[in-house]
Amino acid sequence: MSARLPPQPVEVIDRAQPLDFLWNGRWYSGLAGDTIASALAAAGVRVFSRSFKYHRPRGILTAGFHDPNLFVQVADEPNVRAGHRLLTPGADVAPQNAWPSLRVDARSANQLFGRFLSPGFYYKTFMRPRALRPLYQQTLRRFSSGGSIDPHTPTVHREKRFAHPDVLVAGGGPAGMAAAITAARAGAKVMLVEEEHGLGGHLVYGPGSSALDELRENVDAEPGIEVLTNSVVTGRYDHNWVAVVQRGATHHEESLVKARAKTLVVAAGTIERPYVFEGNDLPGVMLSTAVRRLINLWAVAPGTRAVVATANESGDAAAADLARAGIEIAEVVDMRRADRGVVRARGRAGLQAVELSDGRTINADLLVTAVGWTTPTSLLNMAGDRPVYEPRAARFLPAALPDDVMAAGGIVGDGTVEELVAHGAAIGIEAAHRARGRKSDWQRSTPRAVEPEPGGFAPEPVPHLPPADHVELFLGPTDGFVDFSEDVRAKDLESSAAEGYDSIELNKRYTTATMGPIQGKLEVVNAVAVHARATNQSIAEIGTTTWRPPYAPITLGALAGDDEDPVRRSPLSAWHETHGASPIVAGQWIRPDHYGDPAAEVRNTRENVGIIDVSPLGKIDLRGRDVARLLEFVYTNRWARLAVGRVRYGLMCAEDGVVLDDGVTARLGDQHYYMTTTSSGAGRVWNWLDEWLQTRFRSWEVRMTAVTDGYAAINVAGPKSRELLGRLVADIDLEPDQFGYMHARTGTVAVVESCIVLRIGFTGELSFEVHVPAGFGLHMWEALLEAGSHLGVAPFGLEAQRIMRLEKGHFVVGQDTDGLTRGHAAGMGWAIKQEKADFVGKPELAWEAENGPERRLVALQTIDPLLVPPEASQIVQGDRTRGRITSSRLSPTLGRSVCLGQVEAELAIPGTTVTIRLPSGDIAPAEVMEHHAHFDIDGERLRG
Amino acid sequence: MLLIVCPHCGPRNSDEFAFGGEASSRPGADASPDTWRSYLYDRANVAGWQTEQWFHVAGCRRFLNIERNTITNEIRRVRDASEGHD
Amino acid sequence: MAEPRFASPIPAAVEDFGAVQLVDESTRLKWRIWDNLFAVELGRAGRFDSSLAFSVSPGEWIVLGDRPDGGEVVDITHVRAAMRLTGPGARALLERVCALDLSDAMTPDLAAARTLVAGVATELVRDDVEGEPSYLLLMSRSFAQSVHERLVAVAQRS
Ligand SMILES: [Zn+2]
Repeated sequence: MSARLPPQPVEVIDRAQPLDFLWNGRWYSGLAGDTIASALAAAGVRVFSRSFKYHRPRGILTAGFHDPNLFVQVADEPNVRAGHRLLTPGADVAPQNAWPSLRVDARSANQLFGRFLSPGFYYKTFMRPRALRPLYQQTLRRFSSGGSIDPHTPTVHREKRFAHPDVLVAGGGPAGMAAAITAARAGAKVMLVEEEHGLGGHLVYGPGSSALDELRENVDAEPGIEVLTNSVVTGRYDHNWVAVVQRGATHHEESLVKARAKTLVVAAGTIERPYVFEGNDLPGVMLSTAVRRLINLWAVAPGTRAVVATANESGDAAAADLARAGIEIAEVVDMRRADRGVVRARGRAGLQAVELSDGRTINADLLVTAVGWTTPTSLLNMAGDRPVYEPRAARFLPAALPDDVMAAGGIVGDGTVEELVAHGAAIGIEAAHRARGRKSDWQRSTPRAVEPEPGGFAPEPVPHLPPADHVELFLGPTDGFVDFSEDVRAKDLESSAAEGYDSIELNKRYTTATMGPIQGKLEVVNAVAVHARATNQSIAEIGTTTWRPPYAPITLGALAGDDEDPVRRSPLSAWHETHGASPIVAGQWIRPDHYGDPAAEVRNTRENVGIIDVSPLGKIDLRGRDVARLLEFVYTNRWARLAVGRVRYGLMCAEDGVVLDDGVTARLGDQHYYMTTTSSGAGRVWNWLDEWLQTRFRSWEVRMTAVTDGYAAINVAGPKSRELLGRLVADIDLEPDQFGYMHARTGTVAVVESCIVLRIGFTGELSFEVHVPAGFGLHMWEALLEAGSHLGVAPFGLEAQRIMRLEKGHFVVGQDTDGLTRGHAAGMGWAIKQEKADFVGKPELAWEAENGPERRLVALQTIDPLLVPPEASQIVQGDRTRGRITSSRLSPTLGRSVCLGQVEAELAIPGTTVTIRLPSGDIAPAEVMEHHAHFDIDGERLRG
Repeated sequence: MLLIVCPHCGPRNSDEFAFGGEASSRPGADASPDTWRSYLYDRANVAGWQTEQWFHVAGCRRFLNIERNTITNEIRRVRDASEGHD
Repeated sequence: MAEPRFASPIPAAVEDFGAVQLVDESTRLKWRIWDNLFAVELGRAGRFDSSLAFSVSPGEWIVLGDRPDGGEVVDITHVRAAMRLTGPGARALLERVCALDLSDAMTPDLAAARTLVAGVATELVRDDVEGEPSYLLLMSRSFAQSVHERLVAVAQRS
C-alpha cells in the first residue's frame, strides 16, 4: 500500500526518477532524493528492525541520522542509517537486527529471553559458569546482531587531510549559515559542516522560506566558505583540534578531516526528545519532527489516523502538516495543560490505540509526540563546558565556554528565523575577530610567517537569545523506553538506582543507557530525569553525563585513512630485492635476512670473504674543540687520548646505569670524529647527544650531523677481505703494519672519493667496513662483487651476521640486554672507567660494581651439542626461574649450539651446570663458559 | 593533539615533539646517593602547572621547557631549554 | 674502473599529475653550515645565484648548490634526498600528508620549516617557480622512496 502523498511544496524527491532497490530480498521502488527509510515508508513498510534485547518491532522514530530504529545492512556495509542514507539504484538493503524475523510476534522472544534481561545483565547473567561463556557469546551475537561484515570486501584507501580554518562552524542551520557568512565577510577562512545532505537545518522542512533561499545564496557567494554537507564534527580535542568526518566524498566512503580551528562555532540546534510511556517504542509512535520531515521532504504519509500530543510549536506544526496532507487527526492532546496527557500506546506489530489521561482510548496508527528539546552540547562539553539545566525551558543550556569556542542559535536559545540569523551573524563576526587575533599571535610567533596586519577589534555585541518557556515533560505515568538503542526502560534505571548505582555515571554504565549507537542524543535527559526521580534529586543537581568523542560514529576505515608507516631503504635495497634476499623489517629498515642459506653464508665468510650491507648502522659526524669531552661524558670508557686514525669501541649507559647503546667511534682528524651506533639506537643516540649539548654543555663547541643515511656501509669480512679490498684501493695501504685492527682511514675506494674505511669486526673475521657516500653505494657493492669474484666473495645477510657475532660472544643491545641490564651485568666492567670525574650513569654503575650485579650475561653451551634452546627459554632451579637464554643459534663453524644468556650472579661462575627449561617443558643441561666468545677466543683471526 | 607554539617554529602539533617529563637538573657527580636517587626516580607528578621538557624532534630539534597545566593541558610558556628553567 | 654513477633513491625523475609535478632533485649538492654566510633568518630561505640557503633551526643553515665558502661545512648531499612539488595542486597534495599550515600568511614564498611529511621529518622550503607554488622537500635519503611512493599514490587518487 503506497503512502506517497501528492506533491508537497518543498519536497526533495524527483518524481521523474524512480529507483528500484531490494529490501529483505524483495524489490521495491523509491524516488531519487528518498532516504532508504522514506522510500520504505512510502512503500508502506512500518517495521524496520527488532530491538536490541527484547526484539520488539521498531519503526521510524526521528526519520533522521540519529534514529535508533533504522540501522540496516546495505550489501557488505553494516550499520547504515536508513533515515539518513540516500537511496541508490539497485541498493541491496536488509534488516540487520531481525532475529528471529521481522514478522514473528515480539512476545515469543520476550518470553524466551526476558529473564536474562534485567539491568546489569551483562555483569550478572553471562558471567558464570565460565565454561559457558563461548555459548553465551554465540547466543548474544545472534540476539543482538550489529550487521555482518564481508571479509572479502575490497580494500579501499580513504582520504585524510589536514585543514586550518579560521572559523569552523558545526551545524548548517540558519544560525550556523549566518555565522559562516559574516565570519567570511570579516575575512575569515570558514569551514561549514552540516550533518544533513543540504544546508538549512529545521528550515528545510518548514514552509518554503525566502530566508532560507537568501542564506543559501549568500553561502554560495562567499569563496571563503568551504561547505561540507553530509559531514559531521565528531570531536573537539585540546587546543581546538577538531575531527570532521566527511561522508560521501567518494561513494559512501567516509574520510577524516583533521582541522586546527582558530575558533569553533557550535550551531548544533536542538534535537527533539521522545516521551517515556508504555508503548512509546511501537511502530507508529513518532516525534513531531519526524512527521514533518516525512510529509514535507519526501511526501510520505506517516499514518492514516493520528493522535497528536503536543506541548510546543513543532507539534502544532506537525498537526497542521498532517491536516494539509489530508491525514485524519483523531485527537490533538495539548500537553501544555496539566490535565491532558498520554498514558500508554497499545498495539502488537504497530500502534493500534492510544490511552489518554482523561480515560479515553482512541484508535490510531500514528501517535505524534512533541514534548521538548535536547541541546546536543557534546562539542561544548568536550571543550570543558558544563551545561546547566534551565527548568523554565526544560533543557540544558551552555554555561562557560573557553575563548576559542562559541555557541550560536538554537543550542543557546529560541527565536524567530530572523532572531536566530541575527544571533548567528553576530557570533560569526566575533568568531572571526577572535580567529584573527589568534592568527596574528601565531604569525608573530612564527619566524617564517608574514607580519600580521595591524589593528584589533572591539568585541562584537551578541544579541540576547533567551530560550522559550517550555513545560517540563519527560516521563509519563506508565513505564516506557528511555534508551531505544539499548532497550533500557525507566524501571530498569530505577531498579539499578535502588541496587545502589545511585550516581548517574554508574547507573548509565550499569544499565548501558545512553551507551548505544545514538550515544545519548535522544535519551540522556530522560535518563537523568528518571534517575532524579529515583534518587530524589533535581535534574539540575544531577547535571548531564559526560559527553565524549565521537559525537557520531566513525568507520575504522576513516580513522585509518591511507596512512602507511614509512619504511627505510638502504642504497642497496633494490639490489637485494633482485638477488633473492629474504627481507626482514628491523626497526623501520627493510633488510636482507639471508640470500637463501645463512649457514653457507657463514661458512663462506669464515673461509673466503663475504660482504654485508650494514648501512642502517647509526653514523654521527662530530666536529669541534670539545668532541672528546662529549665522548668522555656519554661513553663509560676513556676517549681523551684516542689518536687520529684510531677506532675505539664505546659503551653508553643511561643515567640509571642501564646499557643504552654501543658502537665504535673513529677519530678522523684533530677535531673530527665519526661515531657509529646500533641500527635501532641511531635516533636515540643522536637525540641523547643533542640533549646533553643543549641542556647542560651549552658552551661546548661540538657540531653534530647525523649522517646515517649519507653513507652506505659495507662490511667486507673474511680471511680474503684484505686481498679483495686491495684490488679497489689506491691511496690506502692495507698492510697490517700500516692499517692495524681498530684503525680508520679515509680515501678513495673503487674510484669513489671520501670513503671511510674502518678495520673492525663484529663477525670475528679480518674485516674492513667501507663507508661510501650513499649515492655511490650500489657502485661500491657491485665493484666488490666483481673484484672478488675469483676470491669466492658472496653477500651475507643479517642472520649470518647474527650467527657469527654469537659465535664470537658479542652481545646485542636490546636482545641480550634489557631495560634493567646495567653495564656490569652485561659483562662490560672492563669498559667502565669509574675513575673518570664524571660520565652518564657513573653513580649507579659505581653502586652496581660495589654490590655486584644481580644477574650476569654469560655464554652457555648445551651439553647436548645439537640442541638449540629457543631464545627466551628459562633457566631454572627447582621451581625458581634464575635466568633466560637471550640468544641461541646452531654454529655452522663449530657444529654445535651456542648461546648467550642472563643468569643470577651465583650461577655465573664458569663451569657451573645450569638447567634450561624448553617451551615443551623438557629440560636440558648447559654449561656456563669462561668467555663470551665460543670461537677464536683470543681474536687471532680478526687481528690478522 | 596538543598545539605547542615552538619559539623557533611557531604552532605545531604535539606529534612532532618527544615528551621528556618533568624538567629537572642533574646533580653533580659528587652529590649524595640520596640526591642521585631522587633525581633518577622521584617525580612530583603535580596536578596543575608543571615545567616539563619537550624535544621538537621533527622540527627545529631544540629541547624546550614548557609550562603546562597537567589538568587542562593549557600551555602558558614555551622556552628553549638553553634559557634554563626556574 | 668505471666512473661511479650517483644513484638517486627516488625511483622516477619526474611524475606529472597535471595539477602537480613531482621532480627528483636529489642530485643537487647540499651543505650544512653554522655561520650565517647568506644572511638568512630562521624560518626563511634565500635565493643566491645558483644556490638556495635556508634555516629551520637556530644557528644552522642548509645550502643547496655550490660549496659555501668559509666556516665549518659538512657535505650532506648524500644524507638528504630532495624532491620538488610544483603546480596549482601542490598545496592540496601536501595537505593530505602534512599538518603544517601552508597558507600564504603562515608559509609564504621563501618560508622554510622542518616538519612531518608523510610521517617523515622533512625540511620544507616554499620556493615558487615563476609565480607557481612550489615546495622543495628534503628528507633523509633512506625514507625518500617511501615518501615518494606515498605522494604518488595520493596524487593518483586525487
Ligand atoms: Zn621547533
